[in-house]
Amino acid sequence: MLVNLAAVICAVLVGFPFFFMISTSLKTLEEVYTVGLQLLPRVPQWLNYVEAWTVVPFGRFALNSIVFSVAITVGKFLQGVFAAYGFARLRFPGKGFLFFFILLTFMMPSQITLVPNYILLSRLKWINTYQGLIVPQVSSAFITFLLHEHFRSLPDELFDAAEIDGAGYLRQLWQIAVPVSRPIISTLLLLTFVGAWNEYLWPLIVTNKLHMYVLPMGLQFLRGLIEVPAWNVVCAGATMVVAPLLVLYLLMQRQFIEGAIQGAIRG
Amino acid sequence: MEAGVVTQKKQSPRAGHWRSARRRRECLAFLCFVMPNMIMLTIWTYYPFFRSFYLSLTNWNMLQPQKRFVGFANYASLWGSYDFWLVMRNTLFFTVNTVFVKLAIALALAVLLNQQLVGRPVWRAAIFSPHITTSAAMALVWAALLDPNHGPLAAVLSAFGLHFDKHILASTTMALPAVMVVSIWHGLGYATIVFLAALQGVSRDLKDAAAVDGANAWQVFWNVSFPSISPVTYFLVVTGLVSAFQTFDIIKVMTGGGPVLATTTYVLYLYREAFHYFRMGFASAIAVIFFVIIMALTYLQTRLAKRWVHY
Repeated sequence: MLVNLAAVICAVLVGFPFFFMISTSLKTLEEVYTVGLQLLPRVPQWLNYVEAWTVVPFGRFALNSIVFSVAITVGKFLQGVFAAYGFARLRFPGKGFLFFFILLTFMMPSQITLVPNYILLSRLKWINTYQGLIVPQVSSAFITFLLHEHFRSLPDELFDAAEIDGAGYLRQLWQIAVPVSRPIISTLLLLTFVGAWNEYLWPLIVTNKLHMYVLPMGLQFLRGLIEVPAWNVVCAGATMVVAPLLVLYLLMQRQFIEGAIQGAIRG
Repeated sequence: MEAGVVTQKKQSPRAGHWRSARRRRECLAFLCFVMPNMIMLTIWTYYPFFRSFYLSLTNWNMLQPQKRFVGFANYASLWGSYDFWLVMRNTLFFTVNTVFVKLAIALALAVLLNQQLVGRPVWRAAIFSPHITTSAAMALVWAALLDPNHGPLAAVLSAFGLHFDKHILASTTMALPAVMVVSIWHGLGYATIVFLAALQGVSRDLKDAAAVDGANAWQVFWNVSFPSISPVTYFLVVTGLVSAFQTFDIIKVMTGGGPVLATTTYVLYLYREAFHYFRMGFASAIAVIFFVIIMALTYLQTRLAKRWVHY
């Protein structure tokens, strides 16, 4: 009984910022700046959401975020799935060395590549463009590494029949390897998408024009509009940024949690 | 003689295989599959990685045209810089405290969640949820939460007769602990569910045997459970240190590194030098040292793991 109570209290404490965010997003500005503990708004102010959406080009930020996240997810996945399949199931002289070349990038933290990549982008005139936001971020060894391990563990018999039927490598990949790996692939896609949605540092460097901002940057702009922050409108914006993630999390909780555990236990 | 025959036997079918069209097709397919990934990594990871080393030896400022080779001057001026050592101290303070406080709370939570609980999946999901949310957005919510003029924290503290005359985030002594709290909150759920998974894997037999020998719950935990999860603890400490060392979003949003330099940690320092002052040579030296520190941590990891961890 006591442990149950303790668990409830901990969960409530951890969840409190979310509650506070939503409750503040529905308050009037007077309520926000009233001293004292007021947990709920007297009358929910739904217009705060309209305001957040209209005082800044929120729709544009959302569009940019969707383009950025989807493109990165698709790009990283395609690159990773082909490379992983090649390394796991095709023979090539010196393959081990090439794989080592890919793994070595794990030792290069993204922070050390920031400055030269920025310089390269500005030479290419890619600052404030979608290709500048997306292309450098697509290069990744992570999916290659994880899917490689997985594809190698698949039994050869799976592929033998297809090979006798004369299926090429492309068909073996898309009709056998990918479908049987659906659980790990959906987890990877999910984590990649969420990672891109939450990315802040890279867009901060690559964009400085309002029409190219992604959501996390748009939010900072919204907060900075007024000297004394209209926290209710800012929280309405923050809710709209975080809500898609929370919905995704409610729907696919198992993938998120399993993904985190697997990475840790194996790592 | 014998050996020669054997190798010949081994090689000849392979050599024949080599010439076959099927083998060539396989090699070609391999190249087509692998090349996009390798080319992208070469352009966007390898090339900038090595270029950072080169740039760190120049005095290049992007706002000025000339770029001169200056040897190790950037490193020397970092070594002699007051800011650099202040940033190092902030980073060390932030990283070590964040990781150890976070892991201590996470372990306690995991032990709690490992008990007979009603609705455990719900509590587990709730505690994990901050980890998946946008840190740059939640940091703003936390800034509102900590606001001394109205926030719930101010209300709770004033109920105890405490109040701040200025914003916590504007105080040189309180701002760093405040961003640490947010960072702990954001990463807590991850460490908790990893600990929980490890605890659930601890052998029942071992725990039962200890209990039969008369150990109480506390002793069972310290002498059986805790040692058996040491690989996971170790993993969380090392990855936690590396990721806390890389923290950027939360601090940038909440304080921007201020007041003065009170919350400027390593990546914020790098960001400021590179993208505010555009001192690309100097910033590259900061980045190279960043890499060296990460490498040192990783190296320590492999050395210490052998000594401390029971696999």
